Amino acid sequence: MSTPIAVKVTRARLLLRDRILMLGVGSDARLLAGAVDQAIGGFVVAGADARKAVHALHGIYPDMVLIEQPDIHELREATPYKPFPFEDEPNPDVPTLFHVQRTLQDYLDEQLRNGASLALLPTGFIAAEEFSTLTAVIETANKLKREDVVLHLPVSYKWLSDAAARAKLAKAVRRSRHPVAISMAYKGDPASQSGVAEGIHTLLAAAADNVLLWHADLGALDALANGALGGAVGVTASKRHITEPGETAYSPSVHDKSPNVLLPSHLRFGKSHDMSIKFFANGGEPTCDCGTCHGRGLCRFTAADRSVQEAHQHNLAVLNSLHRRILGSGDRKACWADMLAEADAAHAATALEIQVTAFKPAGALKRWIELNPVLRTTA
Amino acid sequence: MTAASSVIATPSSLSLARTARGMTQNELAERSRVSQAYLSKAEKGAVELSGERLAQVADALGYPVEYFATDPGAEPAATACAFPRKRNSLPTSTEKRVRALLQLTRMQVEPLLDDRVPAVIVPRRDPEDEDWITAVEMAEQVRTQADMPRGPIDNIVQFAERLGVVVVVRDLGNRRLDAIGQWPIGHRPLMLVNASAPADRARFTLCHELGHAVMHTVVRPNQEEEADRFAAALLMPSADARDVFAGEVSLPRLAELKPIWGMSMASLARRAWTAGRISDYRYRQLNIELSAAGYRLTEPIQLRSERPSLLPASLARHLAAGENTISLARRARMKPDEFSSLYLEDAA
Repeated sequence: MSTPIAVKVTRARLLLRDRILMLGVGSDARLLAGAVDQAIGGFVVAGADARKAVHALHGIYPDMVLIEQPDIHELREATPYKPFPFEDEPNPDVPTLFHVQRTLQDYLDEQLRNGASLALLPTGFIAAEEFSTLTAVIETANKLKREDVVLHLPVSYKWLSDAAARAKLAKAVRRSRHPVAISMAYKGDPASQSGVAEGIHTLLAAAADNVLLWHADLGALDALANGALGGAVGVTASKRHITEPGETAYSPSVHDKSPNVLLPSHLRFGKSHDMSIKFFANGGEPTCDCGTCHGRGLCRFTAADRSVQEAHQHNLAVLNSLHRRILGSGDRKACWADMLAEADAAHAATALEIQVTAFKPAGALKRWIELNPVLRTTA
Repeated sequence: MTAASSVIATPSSLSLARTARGMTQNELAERSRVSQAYLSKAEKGAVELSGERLAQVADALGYPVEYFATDPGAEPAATACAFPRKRNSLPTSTEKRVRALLQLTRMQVEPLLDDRVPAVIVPRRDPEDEDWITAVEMAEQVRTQADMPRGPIDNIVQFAERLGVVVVVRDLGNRRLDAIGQWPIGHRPLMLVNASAPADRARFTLCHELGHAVMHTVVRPNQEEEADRFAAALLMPSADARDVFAGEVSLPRLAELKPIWGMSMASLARRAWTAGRISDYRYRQLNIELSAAGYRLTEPIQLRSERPSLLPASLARHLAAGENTISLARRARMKPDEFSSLYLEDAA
């Protein structure tokens, strides 16, 4: 039986503490890197060109926290026999005289040599009920006696919604020598499934200071307020959750290519075009004072590349501001409760103004409001 | 062998036999013509029950006098946890009766097992690992031990018996109780399954009881849920569940899978949900559809019932070696007629 390991202050933990990173593909990173608040943020680069992008960004921003994410979880499942199913063939770019297979250590070292601040373990997808696999992942990772590693746990949402699975996950996180980045898989928004939002809080209550909420939305802020080490927010909706290997994400509005926009006062994302039709057809469109928007309306974004990029820049600016507000408060939980209460009130005010009763907190926001003890007792 | 005339009943043998027969002290007093006050004192060990009085009590309870020389209270099985799978509405008196019946059955069965009965190879969870090794992992370990990592288990009774578990199917006298099982240290796991349970429910129940046996040496707060998880994962491993439920999960699909996996349609729907193959919404929908179709009360497609063979085979070997009903009944400390009706029909 592996015994719990006291959370140790590793380089990885020091570097990630209180940080909310952005998570996107290489093009997202190149676009947004300049707007990243390097004191509290950074970038996780995923996708096929992650290596190239991290290398380039490190050259331009040598002090930025950069992580290269191997997207192995999108293709392969972890097993008890192969928890980290990376290609162990030698890197073809590195000439060698002899055919020597790459070890996990080599794989991590390559990320660091390329410019990443920390190395992310290439964990395969961990399906629901794959308890033996999770044990193997933790035990194999714990054999790495290094301080520059983050353990990625790409798991089915069931690991958070199911009490028995969550209990095992919490124990696994506590046993991990390395900080643990948890990504949840579901075809849609994982937080829409019953027990997920509660599950994250239960997990945080058990092992908060070793948890990073990865591939997250505003859940990263909720986690941070509840003691998490940090998190990573997806630049696009598809990066705010993961999908199981072989599955495709479900999109409620396939034909609407307008970007998902963060409404700062309402703490919600919405597709620009969709919102303009559903909620703000008769006016009342929210505006934003961030450095990108300068007071303009948030339904202005279109599917055009430049407009999508602008929306991402707006989202990052808002996220930075929300993040700073939480970090600057003496009591993070109370601060987050205030923010949730304000969002709840903003929904009520906007619904009244636009005369659309359907405009109300939904999904994870609704759950956070319900879960918050302060708001629950005053509701 | 103890001479019947010299037997002094042990207090625990008396109370166990009476409870297993579902009799109160007053009822036994009436049938045996020994006063309730005397029986009460005998069960407490305050007076000796022997001679003519014991013969009357033994006759009223239907056990040979020799049985009362045993001391079931001194057996480890007397204090080991027994786990009944029951509805909440089961009366306490019935539960007590079935617990006593389980202990009595163990006393009857163990002397009947010969040395060709498979050794116990069921893994047991170390109590220190209770918070780390999950029910699903234990089910995987049991399957690995049986050399059957994946696929449907055609006959779950035989599967358990191959691992050294003794299964006894018996009318437990109440449809609200499906089974009771126990695995005391130093003994074999013993499962007493109610003969009146439908085959799909009996299969799940046996797995549920096996789950208790391998995971629970002491009572735990979530033990029933854990045993259910174990049962579901034993009947259909997670990897199989992911494959089987990869496409659309509908009532016709559940009906198609029922005879293959030997699980009720309701259990299959839940399996798809716990394996993360269907959403909360779809699971709720399926349950509504199951109710609307009346399948909550009676499901279509009946599975064949499974009969134990480990004990009958052992008895058949004893008979072939020259033993008879009387000698075997004596081993089991039972009267020959009852022994024959309970144990020899399957051995024939």
